Amino acid sequence: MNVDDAFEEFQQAVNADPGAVREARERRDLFRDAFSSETDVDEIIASGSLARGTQKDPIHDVDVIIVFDGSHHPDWGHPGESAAAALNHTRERVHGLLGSAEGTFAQEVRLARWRNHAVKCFLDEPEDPDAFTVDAMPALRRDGRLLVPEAVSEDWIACDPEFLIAQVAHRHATWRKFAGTVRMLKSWAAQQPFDVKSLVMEVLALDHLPTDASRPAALKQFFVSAAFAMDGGSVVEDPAGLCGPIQSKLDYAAFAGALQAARDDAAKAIQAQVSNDTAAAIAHWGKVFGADFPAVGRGSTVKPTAVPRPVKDTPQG
Amino acid sequence: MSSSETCIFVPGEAIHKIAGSSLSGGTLVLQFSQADEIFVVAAVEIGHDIRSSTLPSRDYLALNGVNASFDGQWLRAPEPGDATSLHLQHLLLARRPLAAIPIDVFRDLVAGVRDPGNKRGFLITHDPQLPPELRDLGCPEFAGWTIERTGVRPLPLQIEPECFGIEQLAATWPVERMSTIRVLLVGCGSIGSAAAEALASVGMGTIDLVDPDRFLWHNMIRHSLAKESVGRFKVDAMREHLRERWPHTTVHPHREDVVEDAHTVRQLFKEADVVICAADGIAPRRVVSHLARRAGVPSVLACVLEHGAVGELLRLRPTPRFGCLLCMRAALANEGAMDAEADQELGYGTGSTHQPMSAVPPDLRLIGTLAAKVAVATVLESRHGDHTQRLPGEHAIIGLRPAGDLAPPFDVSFAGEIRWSTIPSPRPTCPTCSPP
Ligand SMILES: [Zn+2]
Repeated sequence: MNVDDAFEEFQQAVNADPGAVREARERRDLFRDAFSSETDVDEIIASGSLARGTQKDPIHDVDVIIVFDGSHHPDWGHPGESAAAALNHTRERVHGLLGSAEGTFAQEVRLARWRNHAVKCFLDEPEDPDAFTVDAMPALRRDGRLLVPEAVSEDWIACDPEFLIAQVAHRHATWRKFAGTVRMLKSWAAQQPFDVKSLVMEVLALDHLPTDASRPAALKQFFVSAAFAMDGGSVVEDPAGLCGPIQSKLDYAAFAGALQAARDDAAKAIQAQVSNDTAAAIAHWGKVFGADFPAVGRGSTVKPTAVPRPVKDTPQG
Repeated sequence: MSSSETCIFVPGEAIHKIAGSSLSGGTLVLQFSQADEIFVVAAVEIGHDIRSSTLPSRDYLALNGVNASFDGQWLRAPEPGDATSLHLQHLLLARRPLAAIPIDVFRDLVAGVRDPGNKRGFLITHDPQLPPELRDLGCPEFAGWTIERTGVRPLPLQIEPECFGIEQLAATWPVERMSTIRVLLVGCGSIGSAAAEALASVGMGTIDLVDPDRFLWHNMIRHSLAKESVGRFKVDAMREHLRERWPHTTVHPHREDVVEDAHTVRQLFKEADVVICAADGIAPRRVVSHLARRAGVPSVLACVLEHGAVGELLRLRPTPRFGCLLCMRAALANEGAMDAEADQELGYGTGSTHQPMSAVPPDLRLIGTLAAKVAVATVLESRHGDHTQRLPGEHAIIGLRPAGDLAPPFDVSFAGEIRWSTIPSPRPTCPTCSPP
C-alpha cells in the first residue's frame, strides 16, 4: 500500500455513508417541496455541510433555510418578540405541512422543537442509531444578506451562509479533492479531547488548505500554517465577516497545541515520503488521523523507521 | 531633515573652495537632474569672476546626471553681533515645516542677498565662526536656503563627508587593528564571495584569494559577481569587485587549486592570521585543515550540507585541545551522525565531483558572512584580547531548511537556528594532529 492508497482508504472511512447522504438529500427535498407552495415563502436554500459537500460520517443534521417574504411578516426582523414568533411560525408550518399526524403535504415529522436559530425536526424513531434531524431556519432576505432570528437574544442577526457555500464550491472546482480533504480535517477535529466545531475546521481550511498540492502535501501545509495562525492568537470567524467568532468557547490554547502536534507528525510523514519510506510515512499520518487511518504493514512487511539519519559528508560552498 | 525632500548635494570640493575663498560671497552654479530631483553644486566663484568646477567624480553617476543649470549664491554669514546666529535660526526653522523668514528681514540680517525676482533663488551660507555650543546643538557650518519673495526657507544640504568608509566606526570598531590582519580565503564561490565581501567591509587589511576556477554563467545565481565577470578567473574578478567598493583592503588573487598546488599555496598559510575554506568538496577542506594546522594558524571551514538544508561552520584551532577536520569527522562517523562513505557516491576522479547546488543564494551568503564573523572574532579574541568577540564553541550548525530528521548534532529544527558545540580532541594516530 502506498501513501495515496492509504489516503483513499481513509477517505472512504470519513465519507458519510452513501445511503445516509441519499436519505439526507431526500429529506432536504421534502422540506423544499413542502414549503415551496407556501404563499409567504420566497425560497428555500439548502445550507450546511451537505450543501457544501463537506459532510463527514455520521450525518447529524440537514440544514434548510426558509426565506419568508417580509411583506407577509412586517413585524419580523426587529429586536423583540418577533424572533420567537418566526421560530413559532416555522414550527407550526412544519407541523401543518409535514406533521406525522396532520401533515397536509406528507406525514414525516414526529417532533419539531425550536432552538436558538432553527426548528429541529425529528423524523426517525427515537432509538434509531442513524437518526438525523432536519434543521429548518426561518429567514428574511434584506440588503443581499439573510436575517435570522436568535431566540436567546430576542433579536435577528445578519448572516451569509451562501458565501461559505460559494467559497467551498470555488475551491472544490479548483481541486477536486478539496471537499473530501476537509472531511478528513473534520474527522481529525472530532478526535480531539476537546470540542472543535466542524465549521471551525471548514473555515480554517479556506485560509490554510491549498488547492495546488498533493493531498499529503496540502494537509501538511494546512497543519503548519493553521498552527502558526492559532498560535498567534487568531480567532476563526465567519468568513462572510458578519457573525464574528464561529466557536467563542473554543479552547484555543488546546487547539493550537493539537495543530502543532499534527504539524510535527505531518512534517515527519512528508519527510519519510521524500526518503521513500512509505511505511514510516503512513505510520506518521496514522498518528495525525488516528485509528481510522489505515494501519501500517497491511499487505507489507516493512516496519516504520523514524530514526534520525546520518548526514552525508557532501560539503558544498 | 528627511532625505526624501529636495536637497542640494554639496561635493567636498565645493566646501573647501567656499571655506578657502577670500571673498565674502559669490555665485554658485547648481546643476539639476530631473529624474532624481537632485541639485548639485557644480561650480563656485572663488575670486572675482573666477569660477572653479566642483562636480564630484564620474563614479557618482546620479550626481552627474544633469539636465539643467541654475545660478545660485553663497555668502559668508554675518559676524554674530547682537542678532541671534543666522545658522541657529536655520536650525530652528528647519524644525518647523512651512515656517519662513520674510525676505526683507532676511536681507537685513545677511548683507548682499540677491533679489530673486519672481523666481526661486538658492543660497548657501557659511559660518566659519560658529560657536562650539551651537555646533553641539546641531547647527551646521554650511546652511542652505531658498529665497523667494514670499519668504526665505531652509533647504537641506547633503555635504560630502571627509570619510565614509569603515574609518567612521573607529570609535567602536578596531579599524586600525583590522587593517593589519591578513586572511587567506580558499574558494571564491557562493559562500567564499560573500565571506570576501564581509571581510573587506569590516576593514580587513589583506585578503589572499585562492581559487582556480573561472566565473561561469551557472555561478551567477549565487555569487557576488555578475554578468560583467562571466569568463574571468574568479579571483581576478573578485579583486576588482572588492577594490571598487572597499579600496582600503589589499586583495591578492591566486589562480591556484589548494589540492593540486598545495606546495605553492603552503607559503600563504604561513603568512595568514586566519584561514577560511569555502571550497566545494571534501578534498580541499582536508588540505586546508592539514596545512593550517601545520602552519599553526586557526582555520574556519564553511559549507552547506544536505543540499542546503543545514550550514556548517567548523573552527579548527591548532592546539592540543582541539582536533582537525579528520578527527572531527571520525568522531561524527563513530556516533552515527555522519555518513563518511557518502563521498564515494560523488565519484571522485570521474570528473563529477560536484552535486547540483540547491541552496538558495541568501542562505549561502548567511554562511559566508558568518564564516567571516567567526574568522575575525577568532583573531580579535585571541590576538587583541577583545572580550566582545568570544564565540560559543568550535562547531556551529545553522538551520537553513532543516526537516528535523538529521542525527545530532545536525538535528536543528528551525530555520535560523544556530547550534554551537565543541569538537573532539586529536586522535593519537592522526597524521595531521600528531605528526611522527
Ligand atoms: Zn586530527
